[in-house]
Amino acid sequence: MTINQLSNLPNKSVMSPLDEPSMANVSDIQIQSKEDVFDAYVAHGGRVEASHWMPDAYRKTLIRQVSQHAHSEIVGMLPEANWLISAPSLERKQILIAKVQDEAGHGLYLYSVAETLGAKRKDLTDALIDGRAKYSSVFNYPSLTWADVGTIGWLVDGAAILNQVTLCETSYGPYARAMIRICREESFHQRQGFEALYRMFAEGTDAQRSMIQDSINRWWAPSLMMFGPPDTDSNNSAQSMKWGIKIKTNDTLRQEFVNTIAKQSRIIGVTIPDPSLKWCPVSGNYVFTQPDWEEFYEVIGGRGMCNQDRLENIRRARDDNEWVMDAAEKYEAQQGNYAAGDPNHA
Amino acid sequence: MPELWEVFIRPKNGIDFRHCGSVRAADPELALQAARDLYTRRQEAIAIWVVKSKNIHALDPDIRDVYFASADEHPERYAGYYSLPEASKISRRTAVLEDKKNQLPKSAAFTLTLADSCFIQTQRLCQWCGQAPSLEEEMAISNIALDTLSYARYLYQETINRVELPETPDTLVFKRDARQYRNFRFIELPQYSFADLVLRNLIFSSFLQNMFQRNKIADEKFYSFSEKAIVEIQYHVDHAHNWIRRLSVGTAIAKQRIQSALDIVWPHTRELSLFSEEFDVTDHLQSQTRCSWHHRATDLLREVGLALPSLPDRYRCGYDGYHTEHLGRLISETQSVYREFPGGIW
Ligand SMILES: [Fe+2]
Ligand SMILES: [Fe+2]
Repeated sequence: MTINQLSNLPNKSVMSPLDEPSMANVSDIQIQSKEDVFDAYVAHGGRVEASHWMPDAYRKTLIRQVSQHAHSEIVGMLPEANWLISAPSLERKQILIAKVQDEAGHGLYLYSVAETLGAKRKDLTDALIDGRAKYSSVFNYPSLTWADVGTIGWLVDGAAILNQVTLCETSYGPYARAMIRICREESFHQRQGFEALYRMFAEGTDAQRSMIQDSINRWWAPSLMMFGPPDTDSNNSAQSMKWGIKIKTNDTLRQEFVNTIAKQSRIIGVTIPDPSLKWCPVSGNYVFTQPDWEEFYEVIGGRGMCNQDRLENIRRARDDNEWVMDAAEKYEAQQGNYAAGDPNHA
Repeated sequence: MPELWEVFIRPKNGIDFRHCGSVRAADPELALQAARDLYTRRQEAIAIWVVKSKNIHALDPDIRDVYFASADEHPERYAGYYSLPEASKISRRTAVLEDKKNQLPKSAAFTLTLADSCFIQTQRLCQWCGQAPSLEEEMAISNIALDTLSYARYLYQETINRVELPETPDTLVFKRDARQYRNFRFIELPQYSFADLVLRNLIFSSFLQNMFQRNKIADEKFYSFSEKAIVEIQYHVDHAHNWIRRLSVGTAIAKQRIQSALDIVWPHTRELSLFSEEFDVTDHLQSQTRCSWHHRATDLLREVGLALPSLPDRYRCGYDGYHTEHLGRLISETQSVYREFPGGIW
């Protein structure tokens, strides 16, 4: 297949870049390496499926990104799970259970995307627990009050959505499809957080308003960090953009986030803890102060407030329940034996 | 030179052993003999100990202050610290106990016990969030919790309607103290392992399903709620069945754990039959319907080779307000945010 032929493909083609007939073409014509054909295919908006040939580096980068994303969903359950028991109304409890459950579901969707790329969920989880894998730095901050549940929904899920919406266009088909499902669910997450804060702030007591402002003060900077380091310091970005694994740069997404949240904060009535935050009519953006990137690297490096707590929690869930999973596996094996050997148990 | 032994004697029963001196002897037997000869010639003792002097370790007199200084500062350890009122000042007051349960008509006491049980079960399930054996189980447990929470909300409202209480489901949950909760006792017990979870779920779900089946017929208003709930609960029962089967035959460890979990919870099922007897709104039905949950549960447990412990003859029921120490703690946590923000809007 030549570049000319590739350019005739419709956007978002579900065809393989290297379907059998095109493979023949490639070997006949011998003018393009497999990698070049792949890159061109992706550059023209082609979707890659699990069964397709793909460069090793593409596969590895994707596994890293998707599994980090999956880990973030799972670790992200913990700060909110902290408030399930004390949710102050039955309705809020119901909403929070459903929300945290969604995050477990997102983790599952994403681990299964990683599995289509040949990764094993168990290995990925082990890597997380051993500290070899990364996850979003934001979940290494503690959730200290009930208001944090609202703030996490509004700011943290809000930041996550911006990133995830762009990833619905990503080149790897299973990842893009998972993202579409996830985005549909995320919008409820952000909405419920915003609504909880809005209502408490507008109709609640002074004590509730102080609790909310304190919460925003703590989560603002960690939310800005969720988009990753400034573009000037971000490695791997260029290649990932070329492959359509990353769609917008960290700084672009961060700016979109600040623009949205600055407006929404006025509706709620809270103050964004950045004295320099102001609207710039020339650029059409809000000007804002960068978060403390030194702190970001500390947290990413495993030295945040909750890193050990979070991983210890995941480790305990794995180790304390090992006997359960073990019994399930042995049972499965026994059933297999019965089926083969004893017609009564088939 | 024979060894030196310290001699202790007990002058009479009920008195501490007292050190009285030492003897030299080659072995314990000779030491005892020498001690008797030397220290008990006039029947001063009914028992003797001898201990090698070198085995006695004493506190260095120089550091004594460090050891004993703090003892001075704790007068609360002595009875004299506590003043007693003079006889003339004996309290003439009596405490007034409100027994709300006795004020409730049977039909409302019935729904309140089921509502409280569904609510506390939800809380116990919520504690699994982030601790489950797998992500698939996170999803399943949350689903069950969402169901039981919705039953609790419905049943609280139903209780309120039946007696026209000036309450809402929220005030029933957040304003009653633990002594006023009427849930079954086994529901409030902590779930230490996954075996606890599946067994409690089996027992509670099959019982609840049975209650709804009976009430559906007895109470027209209940009909459409019960119809839907009965189908949903079948999923809870199936979930419990599937796991009990696996844990009972999978591995020896799992079998042992589920058996010990059963030993703890099964005697509490006495409360369920007492409840059925006391609140049997449908006694025109055949006893088979009445106890069908019990038959199905025992059939399953026996089929997978578990031994059923015997039931107690007498049982103090949670629905009569007899609870364990665990409930108070759980209710405190449940109500902490609500109580911290009086007049709060959620
Ligand atoms: Fe998510
Ligand atoms: Fe979310």
